Amino acid sequence: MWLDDELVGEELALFEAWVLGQPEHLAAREETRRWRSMIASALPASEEPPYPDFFNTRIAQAIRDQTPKATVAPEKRRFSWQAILMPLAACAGMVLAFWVGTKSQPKVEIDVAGAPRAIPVEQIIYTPESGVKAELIASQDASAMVIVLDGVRAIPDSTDFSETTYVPVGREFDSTASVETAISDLEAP
Amino acid sequence: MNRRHAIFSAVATALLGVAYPAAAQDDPGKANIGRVSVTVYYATNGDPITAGTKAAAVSKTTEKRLRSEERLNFKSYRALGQDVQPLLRSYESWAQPLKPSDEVLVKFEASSLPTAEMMKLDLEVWFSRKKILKTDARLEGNRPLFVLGPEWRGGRLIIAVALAPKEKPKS
Amino acid sequence: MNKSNGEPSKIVQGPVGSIDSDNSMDDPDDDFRLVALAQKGDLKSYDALVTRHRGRIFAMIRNMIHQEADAWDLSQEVFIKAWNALPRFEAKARFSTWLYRIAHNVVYDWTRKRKIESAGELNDEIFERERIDSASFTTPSGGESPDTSMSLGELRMKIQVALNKLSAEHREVVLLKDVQGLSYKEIAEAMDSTLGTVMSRLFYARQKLQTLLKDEYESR
Repeated sequence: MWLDDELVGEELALFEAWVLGQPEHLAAREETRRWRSMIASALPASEEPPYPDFFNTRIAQAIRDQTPKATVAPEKRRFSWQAILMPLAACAGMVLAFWVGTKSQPKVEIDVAGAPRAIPVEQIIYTPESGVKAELIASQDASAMVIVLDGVRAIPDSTDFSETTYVPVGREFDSTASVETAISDLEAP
Repeated sequence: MNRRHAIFSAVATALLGVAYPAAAQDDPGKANIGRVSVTVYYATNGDPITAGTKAAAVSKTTEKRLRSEERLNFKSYRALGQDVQPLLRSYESWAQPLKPSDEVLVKFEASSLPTAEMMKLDLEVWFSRKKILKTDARLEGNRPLFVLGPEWRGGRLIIAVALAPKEKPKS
Repeated sequence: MNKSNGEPSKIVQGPVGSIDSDNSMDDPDDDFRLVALAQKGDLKSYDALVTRHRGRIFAMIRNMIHQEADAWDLSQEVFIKAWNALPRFEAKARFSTWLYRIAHNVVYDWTRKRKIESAGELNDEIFERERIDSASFTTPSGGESPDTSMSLGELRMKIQVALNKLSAEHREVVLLKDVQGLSYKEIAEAMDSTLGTVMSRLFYARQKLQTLLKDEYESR
């Protein structure tokens, strides 16, 4: 522990007094300090993660996603005739009001086209390589999600893929076909 | 009593038939919950012959689909390779569509149990042994993910990740 | 047509080198204050804790596994697990030490789970660290001369290659002691180990690293 400068107070003082006559221990401590200095200079103790704001947002989102909604336990009530008759009366009242309403007011069509739609959760994309950008497109025309990568290093033209083990041909499974279509293709005689 | 006994035996046998493979499978994480195909296409506005003679023509359906998206619209397409790998419950899988080349690799792992309509994956796309893209993909039966990738021989590679149908049982 | 940009060019990678700009990192009392608030459900206080400690956790995990993208994910996992375990946190140890403990478990689980189980054959060579393009390491930035940057970058790579030759436990103890600056006692808590085991692992690991890095070590 002394080698790593972890002794303090009286312990340290006592040891320091003793070690003055021990050159090999002093050398060992110096070596340890040199080593720690070297490694600390090369490896960061702290490094902001890429996209730090997004980092925090993802954590917060994950926490929110897993937090169950609070439920309130129902209270126990003593039996009461009111508890039965009141809802029945309310029901009867609503039926009567509805019947009167249908007789007196014109029908109103509810327009669902303008109703608010659920906001889809955005797909997360991350490009660890510096200089590479990604754009996410929900393509209705292609009926697919599309990620366009920009800044990726080109594969050398000399690279040859003629040895590829499997190349889909003709009526082989087409990865972009629907699952139902592919299954029916497989099952066709 | 005989009838009751027969029913019990049938049920017990059925249960054993289900339980035995489950028991035999040491790690439930290795359960196969689907299949994912990864196909690499070569897209070019030049002569598609530059992709090589082994590259295959692409179905009209695929061509039409790719062309309908502006960013994927090219004059010609060729299929360079495909790999289909199982999707495991809690282990990652690697697809190597241009095997033996490892220029294009796709790693995927289920991030939720699949429903009848959709499967959620954590996906990584590697080019030239570098991790280039990481995303959470939602794949549906008729809705793949296309990644417009690097340039090669005057064109671009397009990586298509899609749900694959279950393997046809061997008769 | 919906479009969503994946945060491309706005953010650059963080700087290499010790970041000591946040003095509250060394203020465990303030951590306890924020933890107490977070334990009551205050996400804002927890967010402040995340901001305060994310640099150290990310650096630690990145130095352990050398995969920046996975380190990014695993670091988040540490904070999500820490949130879930907050009710069990008692102010007996530092919050940062507790986080290192969670990071230790997360990295261990990740390493164990990382066995490739795909049905196809795959060339395992791609997972040899030494073959991964050195350009994937974060390059130094922020005011250093090109010579210093190159020198530090090379040294860093050599140290990381050497660290890779150690077992995960030996690697972790060196990183926690010599990089993160934890005390022996804190390391024992983070690694769920004894003081004696930590000391002997550290001794062995340093000896091995100094042998592997002999040329570097003697030239400094």
